[in-house]
Amino acid sequence: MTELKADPATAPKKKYRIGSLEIFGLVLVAALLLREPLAELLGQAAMQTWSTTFIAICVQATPFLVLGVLVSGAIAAYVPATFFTRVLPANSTLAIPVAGACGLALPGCECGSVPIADRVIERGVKPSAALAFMLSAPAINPIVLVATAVAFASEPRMVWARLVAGLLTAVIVGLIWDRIGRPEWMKPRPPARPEVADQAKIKTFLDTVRGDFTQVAGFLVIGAAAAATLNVLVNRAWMEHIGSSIFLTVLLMALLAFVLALCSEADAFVAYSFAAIPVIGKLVFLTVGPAVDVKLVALQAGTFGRKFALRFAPLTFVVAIVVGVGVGLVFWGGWQ
Amino acid sequence: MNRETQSIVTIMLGGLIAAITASGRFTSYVKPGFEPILWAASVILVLVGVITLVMTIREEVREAKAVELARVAAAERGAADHGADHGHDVDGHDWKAHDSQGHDSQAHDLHGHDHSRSKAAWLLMVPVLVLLLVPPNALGADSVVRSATSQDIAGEAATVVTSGSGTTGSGDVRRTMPFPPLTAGGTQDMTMKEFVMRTLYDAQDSTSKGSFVIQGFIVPVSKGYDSGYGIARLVISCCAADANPMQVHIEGDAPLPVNTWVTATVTAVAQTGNRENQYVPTVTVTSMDTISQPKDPYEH
Repeated sequence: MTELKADPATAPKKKYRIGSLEIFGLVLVAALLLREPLAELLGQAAMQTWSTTFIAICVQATPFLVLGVLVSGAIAAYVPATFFTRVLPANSTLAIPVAGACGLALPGCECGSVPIADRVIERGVKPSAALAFMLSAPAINPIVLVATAVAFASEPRMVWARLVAGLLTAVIVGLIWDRIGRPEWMKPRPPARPEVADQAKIKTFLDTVRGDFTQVAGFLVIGAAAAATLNVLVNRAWMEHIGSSIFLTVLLMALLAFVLALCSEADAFVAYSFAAIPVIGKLVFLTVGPAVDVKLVALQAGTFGRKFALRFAPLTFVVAIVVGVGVGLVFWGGWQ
Repeated sequence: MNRETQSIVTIMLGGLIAAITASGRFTSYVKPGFEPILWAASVILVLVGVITLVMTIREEVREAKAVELARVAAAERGAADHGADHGHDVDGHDWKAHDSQGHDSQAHDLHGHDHSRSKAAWLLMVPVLVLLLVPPNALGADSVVRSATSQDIAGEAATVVTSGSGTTGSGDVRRTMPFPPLTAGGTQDMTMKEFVMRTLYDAQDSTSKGSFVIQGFIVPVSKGYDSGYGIARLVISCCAADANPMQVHIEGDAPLPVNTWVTATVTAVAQTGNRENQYVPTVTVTSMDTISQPKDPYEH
């Protein structure tokens, strides 16, 4: 009896060690051995274009992801659990616009704001407010606005239109989610971490950074692969034949923003280069892109759960289109 | 993926990003302005990876020691008086030993539950292996053919296109933009983007009155032309995913295979870009030499 009891005490330890590292080594060796066929496969012209685009999205997103997980780690380790509930208004109708406006302060693109939103929800912030922040940060932060001003030098109203449309989308989606959102749609999360002692804070910080980075970057890889695939397959020429129907144009620009999954700091340059698309179509492109695209759906499904992403992504998509068109009509007083 | 392996993948990714940044290969993927933030990100990733790896290993050694101590203590007690009750006691002791370990690292314990179950981290091996074994080259002719759209610029030309559904390209009003005057005489270096823009929109047709040296790679004949070939360059604003081609058309057979980088002395044939050929203007070539791929393969 005693011996039987003593064994399980050491067993979990052994079980924990087997696995990851060995599998990791095996994958590495296999890849090294299969290098030739792999190079051949990726050597075809289409696969070359795909792999360059895929790696480009990964490389481009990494610094912003690092910034995001550093902020997330700092919140986990150094910001007292009560901080956000004290700072944000208790009334969610007020908290959501405040959280949305906070997006002005985070320079970065959309990948970085997902782990931060996840972390502040853990810290007791209402999901609807955290999601409003998550949607607004990539759309209205200063770097994105400057990039938009540079790209649309000949149409300076675009900067303001984008700011208003991005913020409105975030707030409206937040308010709707506040009414319809259900906690069970989100992945169950472990109980909130208790306050940690001072000497353990740096450890919590580093652990969170590592955990969040590998997790979120993993989902980014799915998103990057999807975006690269669509980038290679979607023929951008077809959009030039659509200019005639406003309804189709708007829908097309929204879909294009969804499949191209551009970084919000670059999308203004791409939007500007679309000849034959009226300015409202471009605004829709710039409103939908930072809020929802293939890469973000992968990130959100991984972070908050599939059930969440299945509901949140369509909601955001529709709201962003409507807001984009509405703000555009107000700013330009018509379709042109 | 367990925590040691997470650390190792993080170190590898950080190291690889540092490597492509140091070698300059990163310009095949993102614009050169990314250099400082790529350095920062790679240093942070390597540091976080190394420190967490050391921390995790030390923690496990400590945990192993604690478990060992508890086992020894239990064995001693078990030897002193053996009974079924004490068996439970051993179990309790073990949990306590584990717990006290967990206390100074509560976060790790919760975190272990949070992320070690996640399989997403394995996907990070895909970019790591691709970068390590078969780092892709800069985008080339395949991308130009795939993503080539009309080269006329946004907004300015939009009204012409949308209102001109009944007319053909030749009926369109030519749009012009102001350009700073060129310093006269001799041959002049010019980016592909400026060359194409001037050729299409300069009312003075400055590019058809002199020789210009452009760099690019050979591409197959573009849509709207029956024969000939082209020289192209991709323009990116952030990363290769937003690449937009800029190209000129040349009559005759291509002297070099597709994707060969060349520097060419050319003169534009005025007003040859129109809707039918997607605003790809024709140039005449006076000389062409092969070059190696420029340090920054893209224009901005």
